[in-house]
Amino acid sequence: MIDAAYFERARAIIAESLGGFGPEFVLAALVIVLLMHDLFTKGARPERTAGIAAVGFLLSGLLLWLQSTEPAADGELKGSKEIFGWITADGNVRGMLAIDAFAKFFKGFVLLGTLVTIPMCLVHPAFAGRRMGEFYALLAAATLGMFLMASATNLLMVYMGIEFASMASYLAVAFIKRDKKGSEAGLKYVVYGSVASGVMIYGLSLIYGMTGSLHIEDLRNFTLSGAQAPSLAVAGVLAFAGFAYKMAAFPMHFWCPDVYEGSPVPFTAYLSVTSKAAGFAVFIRFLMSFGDVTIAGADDQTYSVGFGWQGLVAGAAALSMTVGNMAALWQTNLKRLLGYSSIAHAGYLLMGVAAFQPGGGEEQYGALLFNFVAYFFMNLGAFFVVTLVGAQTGSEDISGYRGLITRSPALCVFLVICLVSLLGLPPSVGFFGKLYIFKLVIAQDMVWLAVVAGLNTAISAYYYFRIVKAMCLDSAEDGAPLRVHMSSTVLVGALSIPVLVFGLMPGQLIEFTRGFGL
Amino acid sequence: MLLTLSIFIPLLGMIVVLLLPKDNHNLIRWTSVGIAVAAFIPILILTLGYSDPDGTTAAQSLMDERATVISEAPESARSAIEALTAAEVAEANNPGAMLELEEGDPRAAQWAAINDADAGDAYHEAWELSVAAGSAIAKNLRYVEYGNWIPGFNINYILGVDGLSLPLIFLSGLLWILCFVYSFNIQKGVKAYFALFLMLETGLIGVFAALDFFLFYVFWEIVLLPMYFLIGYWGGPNRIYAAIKFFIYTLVGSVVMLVAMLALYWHGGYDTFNLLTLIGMSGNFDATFQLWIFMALFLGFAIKVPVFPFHTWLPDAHVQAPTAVSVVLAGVLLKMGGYGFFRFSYTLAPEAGTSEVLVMFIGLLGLINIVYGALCAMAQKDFKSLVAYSSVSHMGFVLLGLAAFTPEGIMGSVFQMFSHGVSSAMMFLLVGVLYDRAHHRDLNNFGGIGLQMPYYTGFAIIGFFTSLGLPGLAGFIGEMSVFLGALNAEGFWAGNSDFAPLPRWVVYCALPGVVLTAGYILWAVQRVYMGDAKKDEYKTYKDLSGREVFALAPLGVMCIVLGVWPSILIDYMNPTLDALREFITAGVGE
Repeated sequence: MIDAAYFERARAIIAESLGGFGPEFVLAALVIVLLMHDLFTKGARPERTAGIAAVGFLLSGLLLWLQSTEPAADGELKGSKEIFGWITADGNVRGMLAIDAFAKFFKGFVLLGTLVTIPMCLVHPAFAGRRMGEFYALLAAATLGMFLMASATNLLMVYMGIEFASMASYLAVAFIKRDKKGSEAGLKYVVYGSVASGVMIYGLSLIYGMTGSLHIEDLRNFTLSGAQAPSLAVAGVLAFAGFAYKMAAFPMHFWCPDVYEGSPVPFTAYLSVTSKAAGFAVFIRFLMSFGDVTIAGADDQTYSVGFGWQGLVAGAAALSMTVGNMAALWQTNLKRLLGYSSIAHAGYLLMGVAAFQPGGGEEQYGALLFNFVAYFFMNLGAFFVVTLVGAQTGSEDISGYRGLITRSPALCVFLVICLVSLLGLPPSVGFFGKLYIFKLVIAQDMVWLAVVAGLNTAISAYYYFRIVKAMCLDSAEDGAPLRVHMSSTVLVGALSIPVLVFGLMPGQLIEFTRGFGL
Repeated sequence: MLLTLSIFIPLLGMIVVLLLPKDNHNLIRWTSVGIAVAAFIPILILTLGYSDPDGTTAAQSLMDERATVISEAPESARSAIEALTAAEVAEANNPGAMLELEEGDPRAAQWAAINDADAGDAYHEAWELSVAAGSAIAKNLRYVEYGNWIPGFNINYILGVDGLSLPLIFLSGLLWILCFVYSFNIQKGVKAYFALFLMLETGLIGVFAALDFFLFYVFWEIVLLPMYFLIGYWGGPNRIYAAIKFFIYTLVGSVVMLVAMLALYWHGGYDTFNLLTLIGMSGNFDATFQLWIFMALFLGFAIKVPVFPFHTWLPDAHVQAPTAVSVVLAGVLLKMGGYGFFRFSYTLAPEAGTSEVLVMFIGLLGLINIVYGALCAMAQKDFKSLVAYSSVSHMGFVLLGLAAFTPEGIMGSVFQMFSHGVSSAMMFLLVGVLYDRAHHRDLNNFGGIGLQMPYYTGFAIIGFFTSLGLPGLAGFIGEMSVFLGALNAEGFWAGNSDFAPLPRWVVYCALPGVVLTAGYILWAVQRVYMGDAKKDEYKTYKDLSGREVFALAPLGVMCIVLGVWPSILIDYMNPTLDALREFITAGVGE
């Protein structure tokens, strides 16, 4: 019933929603400010451009920090955690974006990842003398897209968020003009991305056809009603293509090594951490709307509804880690190798998702988020060293790392710490993260998956230790010490020391990550 | 406190060494020796104090911890926790099944008093401690340290020593001093070498002292990293291959072990890594589960021992590693596997371990190790790989003694671990001394060393003859007891029709191993020390330097002392091993 009162109500909803959109507004403004700044200063003084970007991200982070994740206290959105809603036929409000702890965690995660990327950009030689405002604007745009992904409660918004983040990323990958590898990577990224999102939107449209709604709450209700489970399974699998593409998981992982290799190292680092996290955030929110796997019937029996997504996710997890690790064994380019390692880690993380029970309590989220924090430190630490070494030697090949222990002992030790953690040996945080996920998986009686992951860990030792071997055991062709600025070393240290600290004393982090479940 | 000191003094020492100036080699060397000595002092105090009859046992100190836990619980729940976890009822009150009380059970009221999360946690911890204190191996454990490490996962910091681990800790502490003194000839990357070596000590002593499975696993893996670098950087020509092979083999084993560890955590809902608690509850594990646990743990430990067919990393690692690293590798690192059998495999899965199939399986593996290792040793041309294969052969005795489940067999098995630790460490030092002079290890190219280096040859005779098992030297006691115990197995278990003891023919098949051992050792001694010098340069060799004598003499003395006065070690071990054996075989015949 559309009348004046309806419009009045709708206006009020929009006005109230704007308050919850502060961090995103700042990012959107940052894009414009950076482009303008570039226009007038012509790319001179890259530090100042970086400074503006950093301030913008910090401001967005501050608003995020202050944001309340409690349901709105009054007004039209009263009792709801979702903003930008519309009014359904029965007078309820269905929102587009959720403002909850889960989204807050991932937004903060993405922001921190972006902030770490900025100093990497400053030392990256291919960026020297370029108009970096454009690049930071792309970073801000991609970050904005990931914010939308982390919050999306509407399938359309899910799709929009993914596309937004992807579009900005396509451009950033091919940022360095006339760089053949970069252009190739950008093109591959676009092609794979288009296929993935095409398949995904087909799945989402099937869901819309069945449920008549795009909101995930309606999807949940539909699943719980137990209707049309086979069609739902088909739609879910198709939609998974889009999510897997963002998570860099099997079967949509093919783009990952090429794009990682071709794009500028700082952006590779950014992509490997933030994009994966946002992909998982949106995927989990979507997955949990498939309803409870089992529900209690009136006759004290439990019934299964929905389709067996756990088995599918477990399969994708096992294949991701196996494919990633197997392919990584033969790589000589470090960025490419870390690309495959990132596919393998998508597998380990998916293993945690496979153990999810809808409404399964804070521990399952804690396990996954704990692993994201671990991944943040170890992966960004590793990429930071790759950036710094690449800037000095111009090489991203493992052979360029020979004898790093004599050329730059600090960087070498920090990289060893990160690699040991990626491999998952104690006493690193990576080990504890894997253990945490194993705990969930075994509790769900999926011992086979834990065994597959365990064997994969042993396989991955070979390629991680090929890097360690080159750095510590081989002698350098060029023995000159690397000239790395003190501040960079300190930053790398700040990323890799927590790997050990949280590995030895994970108690606080366990407590912290438990508070951010859906 | 003493155990913590002996574990963490090396780790702190590592940091100290890292802070020293890189080019002052002597300062680094002497500091490292000082740290090793400092770490040995608490071990010495432990060793001397262990036999004190008034010492606090694990059973007592864990009950004290339980009292503390209860006193910190919410007041309303204290008496209920006390009653529900009293030592005599704790094992029956399986916390997984606690809620299923029958009607009219008086415990229902007590259970109702434990009504919030704090009280529940306290109950669980008190229960754990009660069961741990009552477990079979607790009454021989001393110097127990207990603390919460990661409460969210119920992971504790528990240390303790008994007659099984103490000799190995003592040996580790001693070998580290000797190895540091011997390692003065390392010229490349001195600082990193000693730092990594110190880190290795932390891991190793931690492995032998840890009583929480998680803690044990962390130490177990800490051993891995420095070893990889020590072999890979300071080793021989093919060092990198050897290092990665060692690394991957051990990692595969430990990953499988990790899965078993996690399975133990959740099976039965005990939610604990506390080894003593798990041992206390191991009777509740069903047969299939025990079999899986046993096999998974066995794989992890067998790779380390190493047991045929997982032994192939060992000759590579030994031959390539620098002398001091070979010494600790053979001396104590291999014992991590043997120790694991006693401490974990059999105690956590006693029923599986004593099943007919596994007794036979372990016995046959022991037989293969003994005979096959000896045959391989005989075929070697490289002096060091001969010694490496002799380790494979000697560790077979450990398996054979284990499979017998007789007092002599078990005792001989542990004695063999210690005496092999001494003799193989000595043999690797002896090979190292010769290599430092000749720069080759080709057995067929030596000769006449005996005349030229009489003192060295004297030590060599002690070391090699200990390994050979000559009566009067340490090696004899272990091998003899193992054979006695294994041969006696059929007689010892004659009255029990439910237990299929190790058949005698397995032992008869293993006996020729002794002859083969004598063969390869005597042949090697003859080729190296007797006869005429194959090269003129051998006539210019100087006899042992003071540094080398310092490294060899304590081991030589131990070879002789343990040979003529074995009870000095056996008295330490026997109470522990008796309790252990009785616990493992208690289920037999039920």
